[in-house]
Amino acid sequence: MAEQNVFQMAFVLHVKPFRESSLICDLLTQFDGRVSVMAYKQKFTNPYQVFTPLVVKLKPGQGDLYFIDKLDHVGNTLPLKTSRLYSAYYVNELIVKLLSRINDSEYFFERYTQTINDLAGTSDIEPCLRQFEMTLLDEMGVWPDLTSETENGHGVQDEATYHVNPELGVMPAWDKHVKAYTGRTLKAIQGADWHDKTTLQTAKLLLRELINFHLGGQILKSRQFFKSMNKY
Amino acid sequence: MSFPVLLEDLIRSLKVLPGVGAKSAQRMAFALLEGERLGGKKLASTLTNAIAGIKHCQSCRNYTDVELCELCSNPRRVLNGQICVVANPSDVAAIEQTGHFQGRYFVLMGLLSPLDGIGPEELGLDKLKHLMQDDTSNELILATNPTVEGEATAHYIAEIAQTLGLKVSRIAQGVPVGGELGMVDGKTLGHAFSGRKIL
Repeated sequence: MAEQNVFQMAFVLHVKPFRESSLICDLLTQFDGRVSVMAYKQKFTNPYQVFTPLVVKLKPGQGDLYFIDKLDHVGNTLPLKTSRLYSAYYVNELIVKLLSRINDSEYFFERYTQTINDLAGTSDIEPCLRQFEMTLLDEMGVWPDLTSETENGHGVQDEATYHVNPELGVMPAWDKHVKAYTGRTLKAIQGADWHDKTTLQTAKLLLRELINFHLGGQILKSRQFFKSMNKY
Repeated sequence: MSFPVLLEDLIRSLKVLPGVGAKSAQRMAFALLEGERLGGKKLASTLTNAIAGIKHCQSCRNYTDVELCELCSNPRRVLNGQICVVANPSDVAAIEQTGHFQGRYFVLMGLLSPLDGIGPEELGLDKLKHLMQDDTSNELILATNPTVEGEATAHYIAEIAQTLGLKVSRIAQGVPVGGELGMVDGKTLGHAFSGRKIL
């Protein structure tokens, strides 16, 4: 149930036309998490653009679909360009494909806002994305605590090696054909300590493996932006 | 109430058109059957021929019934050297109506939008690159919509064009002719100021 009679901040994750005069917007809102809303098209401009902060009030529609009761404010679209823009698209695509329900809406909305603002600024892209991926998996309830073995809760040892399984969590490495991580690296990833470049690279591989597992075969189109850019 | 199978089929078929729901489709079907049977026959044969005969131009991807569309096979337009990149065939019609552009077009048939499943592969960018490498090409004009998707697509193509050393420009944004400054939204007015011309 959406918070009614309350103005709240929102970002459009995805928008598609509906009939001649309407739009169906997939919103990430401050209090209600992900909400689908129907909005009327405006004559010359479309305020429902991705990466543009909005302040809206929702009213119930049919079933899970809501209407925009009032569009109070439309902020400036974040100045995202080239790889920073494709990264922001990647963030949106991850939410749409993996996170149908958000429990802690305010916290997640704050993390999303921070991520896309960082991407629009001068921060390094990779740490921003890794941090967000970890937040997303945590919100899904599938992020393993990398500082301890999942089965027995024993803390990971710096020099020992471990497997991270998407379903079973952290376990001592035993299969040489499966990627293994040192305890030190796992602790650094859990603590988002990106001082060492190799930690960042390892985190990318680990998070990609976890995300691909939960995508269950769905393809992330935004990843192709980067691959295709090198092709042309 | 149920209709005869053929009539049900006709109503269902008419619903493929944008903005046509069950009621409108039913009204159209009755109109065709009641007073426009000849028109309906003509519509059916035209539709069959159009679906079979209309394809994408080999050069610009606009709709055509021959290999190269009229605009792409015009030597004057080829020699002009300018290529205008647009999202849809309707954009070509709009620009042609102005009479301001004398070059060739490239129709992307969409804009980059990962959540709609449209990536660089779907926009025919390999064909566009081929066109950019043509000796006669000297400028790429990016005329995609001023939306986030339009800007993303424009920047993506601009990066490719820059690697080929081609001049790239973006259409201007600003105050509409006959408009009042007080009625223009802040963002458009901002663009109008940043893109102002020296007189």
